[in-house]
Amino acid sequence: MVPSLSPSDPELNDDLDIEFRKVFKSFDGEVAVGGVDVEIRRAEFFSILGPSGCGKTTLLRLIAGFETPTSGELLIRKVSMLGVPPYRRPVNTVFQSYALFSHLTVEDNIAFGLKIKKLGRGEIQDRVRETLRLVKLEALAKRFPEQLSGGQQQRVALARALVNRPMVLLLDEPLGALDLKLRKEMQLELKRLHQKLNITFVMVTHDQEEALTMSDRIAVMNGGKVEQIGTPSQIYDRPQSQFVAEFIGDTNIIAGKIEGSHPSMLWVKCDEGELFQVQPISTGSKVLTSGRVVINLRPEKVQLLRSDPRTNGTNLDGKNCFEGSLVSTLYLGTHVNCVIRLRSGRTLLVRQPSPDVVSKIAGPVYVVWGPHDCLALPVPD
Amino acid sequence: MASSPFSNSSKSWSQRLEPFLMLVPAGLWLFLLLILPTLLIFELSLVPGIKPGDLVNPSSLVNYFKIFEPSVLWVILRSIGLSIATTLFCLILGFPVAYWIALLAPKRWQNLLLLGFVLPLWTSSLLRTYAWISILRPTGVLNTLLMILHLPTVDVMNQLPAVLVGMTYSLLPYMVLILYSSLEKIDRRLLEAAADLGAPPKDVFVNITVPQALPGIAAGVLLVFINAIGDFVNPELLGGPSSMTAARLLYSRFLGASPDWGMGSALSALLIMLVTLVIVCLIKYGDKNARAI
Repeated sequence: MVPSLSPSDPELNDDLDIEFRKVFKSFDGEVAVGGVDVEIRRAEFFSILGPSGCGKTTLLRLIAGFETPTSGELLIRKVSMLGVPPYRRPVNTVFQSYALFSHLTVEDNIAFGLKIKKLGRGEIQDRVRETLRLVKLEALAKRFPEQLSGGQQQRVALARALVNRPMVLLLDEPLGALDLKLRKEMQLELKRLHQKLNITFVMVTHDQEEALTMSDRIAVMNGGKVEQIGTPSQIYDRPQSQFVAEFIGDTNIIAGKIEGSHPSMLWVKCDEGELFQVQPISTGSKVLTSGRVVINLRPEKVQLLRSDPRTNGTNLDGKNCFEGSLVSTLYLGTHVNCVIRLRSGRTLLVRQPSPDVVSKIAGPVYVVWGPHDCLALPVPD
Repeated sequence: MASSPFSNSSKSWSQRLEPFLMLVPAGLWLFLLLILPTLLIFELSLVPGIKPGDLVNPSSLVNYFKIFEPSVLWVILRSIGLSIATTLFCLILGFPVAYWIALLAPKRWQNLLLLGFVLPLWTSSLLRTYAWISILRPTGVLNTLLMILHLPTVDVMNQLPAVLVGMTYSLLPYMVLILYSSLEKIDRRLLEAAADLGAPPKDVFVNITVPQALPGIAAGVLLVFINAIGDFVNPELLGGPSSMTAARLLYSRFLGASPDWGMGSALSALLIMLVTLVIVCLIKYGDKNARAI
């Protein structure tokens, strides 16, 4: 029933594990997933990132088989999953709040899938023990789920899925219920498992930091559609839409209109009146050369100076430079977030590494950034 | 110096008593109307040959020996058998219904469906039993229907099957209610998780649904069994002289033509102990299932 291909099967040159082809899913006329084309490669750590209600969990449930597409097609290892029930799919899920079987011990929870497949008693025992070791739970085998901490329950949920040696491991907000310290630990743990097992992980999360640190590639979803798919650095440094730019990390979004363009430079007149120089890059397929745009400027790309670089002889080298004043600061341990009000009245979020530099600022400050530090994005429709 | 510890302790005493004060009204009620009569029954059961108005005499176990006469023993065994059968029928009939309402029926229908099932409880149990008489008697609705269909008629009235039908009918709603509330509480994600781990629907049902519903099943079985053992109306009205049960025997020993309070009390005491035993067993089994911490 279940195709028993190992992840490194040499017969398969094609390395796609999961393919969504124009998948739509609606519930009672309400569109949850609106035409998604996603390809997930073999053995990659793929994250589906988005705010709640964006359809990311539905996407995962479509892979698991708990939902069927209203239209479109889903393939796992080139096999259409149309009409294939969850129990015949070569995937296993780690559920959001673990969904452990409260009437079974840790051991029996983990053995569940193997017992259903009617494996021999000896093999079940060996594999359960091996998996318990993998998630470092040997000592708790005889306990019941309710006697475990959240982190331990999380590990049981992982073990229960992994013991079946799935082609693809699905993780639905796996770390959402854990406290910060434990979450960081489990992030490393999941990375370690992923590297060790060499199978595809598909993780749903609303935590952009988690997605950035853990994933090989990320799909950012919004309103049932995929906004962008890319590596963490592509998503962070080259967002293709205002939504992606704003959802991943802090940023300044500045609306304006392209006043002039040149193959190596755009001049954008902002709505507050400033003229920005922006390096043109293609967003998606088209290069923006005219019309209205939004500029994405990350706070850490902005340099904060106490004296005017235009008068003290510093070579600005085509950089943007504006005068402003410090409105407020927010101390965050590793850095300080400063709110700067420009002369035009616009406020900018600027990130500074050292707290003592900003603490004594009275008087005017100057913000400087290069054309390549910001990005012109199409105005969302 | 001497008074301060004294007043302290008296204050703490009144504080300690306060929560118990709240138990007084209900406690008094329970004591006067349940515990005291039960104790009286136990006392009466140890008094030989007492008739209404007799003085209480030194005790003996004579009344209990009367129970172990074959004719009385048969009545008790019949009662237990009838109650077990009723409980089984209620479970077999009630589980699919509760399962369907809790897990398969559209959410917005659930309350209405449940209400429909509980509706019979709004009429008097006596009335419902009389309704069964008019269905089951030789010229009743059932046989008329069978005759119309040219099928052989049945003679169940005043027999055990009629009692079983009546008791199952009266107790089924309780079973459905309890099973529903326990099935409805099952986390759906557990069922999804089991399917995700490769279990087809049949295995999900056997390995997850039933074990998760086990406390509810135990509670339903307990409630129906206890009510069945104590049921007087159905055996009396549907059973006829051949289906004597413990409850009917009890009635006749206290209020019948030839009263024997001593033997009646002994029978009561025995039934109380039997029901207690059933409860203890099920609690113990339920506990094992619910795991000790």
